[in-house]
Amino acid sequence: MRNGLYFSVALHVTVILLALVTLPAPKVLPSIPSAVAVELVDIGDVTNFKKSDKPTDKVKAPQKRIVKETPLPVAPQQDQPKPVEQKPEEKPEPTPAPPEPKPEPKPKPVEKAEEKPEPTPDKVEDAEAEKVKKVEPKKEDEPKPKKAEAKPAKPKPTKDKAKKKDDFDPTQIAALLNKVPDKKEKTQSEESTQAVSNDQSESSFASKLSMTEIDAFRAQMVKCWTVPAGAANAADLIVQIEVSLNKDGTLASPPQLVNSARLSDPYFRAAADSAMRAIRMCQPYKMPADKYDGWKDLELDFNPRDMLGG
Amino acid sequence: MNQAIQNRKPGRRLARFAGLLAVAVVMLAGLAVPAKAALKIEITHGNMNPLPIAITDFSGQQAKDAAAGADIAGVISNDLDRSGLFKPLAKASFIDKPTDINVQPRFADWRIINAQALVTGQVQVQPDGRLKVEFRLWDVYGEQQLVGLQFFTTPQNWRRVAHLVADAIYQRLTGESGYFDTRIVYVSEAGPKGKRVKRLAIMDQDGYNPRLLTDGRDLVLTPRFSPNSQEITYLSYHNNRPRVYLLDLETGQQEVVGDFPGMTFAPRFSPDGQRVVMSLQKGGNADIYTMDLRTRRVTRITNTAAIDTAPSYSPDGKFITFESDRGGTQQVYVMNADGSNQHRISFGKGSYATPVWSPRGDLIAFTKLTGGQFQIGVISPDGSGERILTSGYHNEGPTWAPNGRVLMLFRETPGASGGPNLWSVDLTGYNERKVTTPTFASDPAWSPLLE
Repeated sequence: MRNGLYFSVALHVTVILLALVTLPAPKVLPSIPSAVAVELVDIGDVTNFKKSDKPTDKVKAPQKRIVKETPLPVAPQQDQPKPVEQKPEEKPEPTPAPPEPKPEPKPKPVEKAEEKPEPTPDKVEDAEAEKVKKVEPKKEDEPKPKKAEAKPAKPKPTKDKAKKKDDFDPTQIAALLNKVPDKKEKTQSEESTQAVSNDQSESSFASKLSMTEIDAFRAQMVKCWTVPAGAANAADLIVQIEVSLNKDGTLASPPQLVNSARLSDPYFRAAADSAMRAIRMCQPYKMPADKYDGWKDLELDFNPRDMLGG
Repeated sequence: MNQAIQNRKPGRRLARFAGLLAVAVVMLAGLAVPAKAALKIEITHGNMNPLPIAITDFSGQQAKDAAAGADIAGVISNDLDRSGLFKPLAKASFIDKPTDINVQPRFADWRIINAQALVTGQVQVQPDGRLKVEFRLWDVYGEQQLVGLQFFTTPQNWRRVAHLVADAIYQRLTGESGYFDTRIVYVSEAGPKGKRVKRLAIMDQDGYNPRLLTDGRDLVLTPRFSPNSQEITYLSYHNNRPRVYLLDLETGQQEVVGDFPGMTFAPRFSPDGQRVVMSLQKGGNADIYTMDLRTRRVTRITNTAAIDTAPSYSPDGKFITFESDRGGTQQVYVMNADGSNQHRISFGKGSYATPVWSPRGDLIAFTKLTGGQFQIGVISPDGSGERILTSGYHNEGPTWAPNGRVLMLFRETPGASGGPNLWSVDLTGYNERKVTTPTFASDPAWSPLLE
């Protein structure tokens, strides 16, 4: 008996200790040298961990697929050639595009649906994909959040999606044929947005930026931040700046220098100025709108140490 | 049984407690994340691109003023461009044409052309004939003035004022002190190869205002600036014997530094300008000596059977770096200023010569001969971090800009019509620029900032 108890206690303790040790570890990831390539990747695929996707989202997704097929004929109308950078997920977006002219909202829901489970129609998608890309939905912000949500859902609810897709298909097709089914789509999109907000409130993790998203942010900064030459002198020349952002990625208020005590040091002053300039120049920032809570307030630590080895 | 049961209870409690603890820990971990309101992101990578800067022609109410204003803007632009850290934008792209420097520029117009900084200024001849030059440096994105200054000078001095403005801009935007208001002493070489006339010459840092200092009857070598910038020391062959001279730039007065039985080489001032450190050769042996310029007292610093030469003080005056072949090949050594603790710091392939301590103290520049290539490099005083900045057929004689970020050197080109020219290179090694001189030129020495 005793042994069993001790064993159980020991097991619990080790589990707790493991939890203590392992849980916080993921936060620390240092910056990864080459972040630029990541920019093109859809943000959030890797790190999202929502517990459960709401049915609304899933439903949207299936619609998208359906939409893709139907809209293809329409898509050719739109000639805009956009870069193919985006992954397959984006392809679904294009499908909505065909209806674009009329209702932008349609494309949004479709985007969510993008999910890969639909491998069968891939050929069609590819062909269409290019067209679709052209169609870019103007309201990019909205679609993005949806995407993020959709991503997390992918792993678990694939089955559900498939079912839902089936259900929705008929309606979508009809809408597509009509070309003017804005109402339906709009309602769907509204639902989806609501769902998103709910999700966020439910799990704090929903608004947490993934490493790819943080790296994407860093990549934006690389272009804007011109490191002052004098920074080579000071090993610990770290400039901390607090930034508040609007949902569209613009600055909500002037950036605030946190460690302003060293402004009398000309090296620090030049470094602080350069960081401030970079922050102002770089706006609007491209951020996942669905995770606004996660990035509306940022503290940016500009540290030139890696830049100035030589 | 009883005992067993009793024993069980605490065990269960413990287990339960542990379970609760685990739950609490998980909850805490969950809470900890949202508690941090602002996400912290460390930005460790930016770009090293030259900063785009718009330099408008300085305005003037009269045509003469405006012409001077345009000239001044040109000099500033050239200075900043040559530094490699700034990219002056083409004037043709300017949308806004600021005329009054006391009115805020329309920053949006400057953002359109991607200017990050903007320089406006004006020039006015005063009733007493002096020139008044004002300028303001603006942060285009922060929409504020970074620095604003005014200078009064004689109209002939407009170039110096322009360099001073460039220095102020450079310092404000990089954190480093500037180096544009400086001069270069060098050896001007005229005539055919093999029969060159070598004369001491001086010019502005950007190559303007060249002026000869000696008549060319005696061969001159290795001029070095005094830290107070009013004096130079150099080597001159008199009656075929090299001797160390002092030259006062203000008065033009020359004098021999001591009269030694042997030959003296490689003179250089101490940081306080009170002493000259040099090498004195007797037979095949050279050692390092210092001479106090006031008392004329000579002190021997090294005493070996090898050739110790090319001494250079650290900016704090506590150490001397020099070149010695005591280990079999020429290498760079460092010792205390009194000659103690002599130790070798260069261990790379090839031979090292003429070490020069940076005015900032963090690096020692050297000339290196390896694999048939002449290289200019830098190394930390502790011997770490050796870095080659430029390499080629011939490179020699590095001298530091007063802020320790740029080196000037001379580079000989091969062939019958070839000859030495001055080049500048910054610490990144990427920004190499030729310095234009009227004749061939060698042995540059960078002055400290002018007073």
